[in-house]
Amino acid sequence: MSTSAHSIVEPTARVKWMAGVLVAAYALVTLIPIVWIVMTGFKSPSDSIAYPPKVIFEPTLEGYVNVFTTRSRQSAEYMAQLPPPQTWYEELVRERNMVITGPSRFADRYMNSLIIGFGATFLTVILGVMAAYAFSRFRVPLRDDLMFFILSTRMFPPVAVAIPIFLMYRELGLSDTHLGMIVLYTAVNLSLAVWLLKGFIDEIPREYEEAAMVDGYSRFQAFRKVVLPQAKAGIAATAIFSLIFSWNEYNFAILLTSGQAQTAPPFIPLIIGEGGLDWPAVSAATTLFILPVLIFTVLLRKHLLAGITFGAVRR
Amino acid sequence: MAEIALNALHKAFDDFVAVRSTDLTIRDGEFFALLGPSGCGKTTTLRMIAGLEMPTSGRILLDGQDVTRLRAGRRDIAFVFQLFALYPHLRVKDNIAYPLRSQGMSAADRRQRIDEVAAVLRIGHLLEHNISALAGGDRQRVALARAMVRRPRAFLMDEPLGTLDAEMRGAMRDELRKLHDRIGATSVYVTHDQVEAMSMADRIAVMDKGLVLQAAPPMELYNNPATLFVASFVGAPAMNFLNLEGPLAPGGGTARLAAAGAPEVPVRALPAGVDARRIVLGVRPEHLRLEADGALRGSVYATEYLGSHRLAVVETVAGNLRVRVPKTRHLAIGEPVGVVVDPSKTILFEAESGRALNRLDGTPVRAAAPETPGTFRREAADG
Repeated sequence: MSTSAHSIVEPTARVKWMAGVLVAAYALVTLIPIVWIVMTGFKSPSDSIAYPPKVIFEPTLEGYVNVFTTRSRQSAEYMAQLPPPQTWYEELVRERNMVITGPSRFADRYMNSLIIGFGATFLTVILGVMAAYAFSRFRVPLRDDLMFFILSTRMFPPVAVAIPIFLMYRELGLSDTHLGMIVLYTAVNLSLAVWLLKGFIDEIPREYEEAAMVDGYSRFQAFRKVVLPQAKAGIAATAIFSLIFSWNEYNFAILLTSGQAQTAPPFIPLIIGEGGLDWPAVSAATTLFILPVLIFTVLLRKHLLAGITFGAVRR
Repeated sequence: MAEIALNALHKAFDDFVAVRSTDLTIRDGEFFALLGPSGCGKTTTLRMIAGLEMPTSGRILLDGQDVTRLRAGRRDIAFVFQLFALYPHLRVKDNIAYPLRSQGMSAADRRQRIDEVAAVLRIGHLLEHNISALAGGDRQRVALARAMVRRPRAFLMDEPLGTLDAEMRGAMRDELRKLHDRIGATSVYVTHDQVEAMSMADRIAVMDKGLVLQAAPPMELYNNPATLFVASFVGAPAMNFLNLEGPLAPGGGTARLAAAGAPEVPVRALPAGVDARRIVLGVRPEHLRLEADGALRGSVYATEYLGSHRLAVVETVAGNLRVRVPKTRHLAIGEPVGVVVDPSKTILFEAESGRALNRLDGTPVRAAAPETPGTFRREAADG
């Protein structure tokens, strides 16, 4: 038995070191696929399918150029009689005896993803925070049953209702529309949002709004000016969860969208190059696709971690 | 400045009746306390006056104007919360400015008003601070400043000193009363602490189970409690109660205490038309005397030295009695003593209803009509 005193709350140096190693190892394992995707985006098509896989390679922007353009192969005589290339990407394409014939549909699909992802997130947060506030503050009849009902919509995978939704959307003319996808993703996210936000709003003492209401503000003004600023952390968390789901969603996107409102996830894996999939272009598209969620999360990270401060209330 | 009148104000939450058809008039400029144990309906009454709770029935009049259905923000009343409810995301001066913003007041006017109240409450040096950096007493002052800055018609305070420590509470009590005398606005103050109510208020309404049992100035409450509950709730140490074995002779004389082997004590005459079978005798500790040959025999159970005097707890067959004795009187624990009851300082209560039958000066109390403000209606409370 050791007789030396030790703290039961403060970890020893050895435990800290081991924890550090474990976290680093876990981070490495989870990061490898992402790093590989980013690397592949900068490889040439032959390097991307080389065996054994190449870790050291000469970077090229070909993948990125291919994502955004459609190209056609031309004969050497035709290439010879062309005027000199105007831009760096034209030059890059011509090295492979091809010419750019126009933009690809990737930018449209990416824009669709942005509209649908952020649109659904915005709508989820607005509706969620108002529903959560009502459940938290008012004597809603059958409140507990309604809250359970809301939760129960998460008890099956959303795809389980894919066929009814497909038929419904066809009847309503919502198939392959931005509105249809925003409404669908909002519906899926809303249950989580209401539960999450209700927890946060329950923690905000009613006295804050009541003070504002006595001081001449309407309930809605009190909600907007007093409750919302204090529910910031909850709103940030809800927004991130909602965006991640809507942004990454694949099943409904492939089922319900084909042209006008198609999002990036169903589009990216089908980027075809010469002789099959164009891996550098797919990887380049994937890299670009990861960025918005990454930026959004980093921007809101502070609010997420800040938690809620009840500075003025002694508990 | 306003008179607040409650007409048959009633509030029920599903099956639970929080406030039972209450009539009360709070005069213009009065410092009025609502006193009672937790759950008695005092806070609900206050919240209904503020407009934070909608009454089930009845009316609220502000200077004769019916505000029952008026939104809280349009009543021009300020509310000070127990937990202060200062906005943690705003600085002190922004907190104080908040009520003024809703009125659309210009920045310069706001500035002037804030400086005024800050000077009155001596918080000028704190204006730029964050709320979280303030101590309890300062938060209380900021909360008061936010209430005062709008110059409302009335102040409502819900246990505003409840979270402060004892020393600060005593200081703030004096400060609040001084502030009231200076501003002169009608104030309604909710508390469960009878010392707070007695020391600050012009009048106190004692509430229990949703009913106002008595509304009177502190001295009147103390001397002439309208019910057993008021008698036991107001005054520290509490009044002593002795059950008498009835029926009592209407003309007074003596009555036997309702306990095995208890002696007879002198009692005062009963008013006419009272059920004389079950009567409770109430007497304050300062109106009992310890004498060697006192008829009610007992032994000293405990003594408390309280500086100016000593409080003796005497164990008798009729229960423990608290007796105020001079501080010089030495009493040993277990020492046999006799307690003397002076009938002219007693109040007789009807045990069934709890209603007081006489005032301290001996004049009888008539059973009041139920509609009169501040009367006792135990029958309703039991229903």
